[in-house]
Amino acid sequence: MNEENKFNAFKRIFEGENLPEEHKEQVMQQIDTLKFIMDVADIFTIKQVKANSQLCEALLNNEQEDHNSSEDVD
Amino acid sequence: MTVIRKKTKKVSDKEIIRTILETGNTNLFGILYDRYANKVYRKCLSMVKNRDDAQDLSHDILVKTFLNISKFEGNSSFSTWVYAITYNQCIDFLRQKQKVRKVNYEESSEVMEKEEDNGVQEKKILEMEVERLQELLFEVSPEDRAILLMKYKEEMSVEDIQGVLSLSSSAVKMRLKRARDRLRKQYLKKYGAFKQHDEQF
Repeated sequence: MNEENKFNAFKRIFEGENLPEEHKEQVMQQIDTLKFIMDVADIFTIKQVKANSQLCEALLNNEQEDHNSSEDVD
Repeated sequence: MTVIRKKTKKVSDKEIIRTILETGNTNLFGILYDRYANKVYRKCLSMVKNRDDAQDLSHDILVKTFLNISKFEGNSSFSTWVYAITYNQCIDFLRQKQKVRKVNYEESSEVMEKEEDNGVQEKKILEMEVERLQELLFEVSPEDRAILLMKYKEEMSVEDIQGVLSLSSSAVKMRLKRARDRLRKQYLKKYGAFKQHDEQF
């Protein structure tokens, strides 16, 4: 026991109590699962919307270019 | 393995958090787990007493810490931030479980105790027998227990406690004084007088 703890009873409350070994695995597993769910949700919400808008933009640009080139031929 | 442990010891919490946020690597949270999980567990145990409840709470707190890690702004240390989550989660748990009413203290107007008296009281409390203190802590309200643990176990500053409890500095001081008073009264009720400083008391 270090000197500081000797004079402070609060420091010695539940001293030496530790979590069981398997606790870490359970926490890390849940974190992995939650991260996976968040990533999937991200793909189908934010990233999909972004991809859709980029696709629309590209299609519109293509159409515009086609229109411009056909006007040049005329 | 030992080499990795030695290396990670040198890396600061903030640096680990930054890397987790940049890379999304959840395994790095394992380092923070190793640093804080048992401390969180002991705090939960000090708050709820029951080992199973404390383990479940530690699990929820550590997962919550990960989920909110992007909200950590670095104004306080990571440990203070984690302890804030811990105490608030424990108080919520006890309120739900025991239907403990929220304690409403009158915050100001009351004359503050002299610093000198505070010091004497503090000394008596800190010198209590651990077993007695442990028992008494479960006889005061969770709010009193939390603020006493923050101040004397974690040695958190009034400013840090302010942040955890969202209170003003004077309110924190007032609550601390009242929590000490209640603990002292409980002690006298149960054991009659303080072992070492009976005369002064």
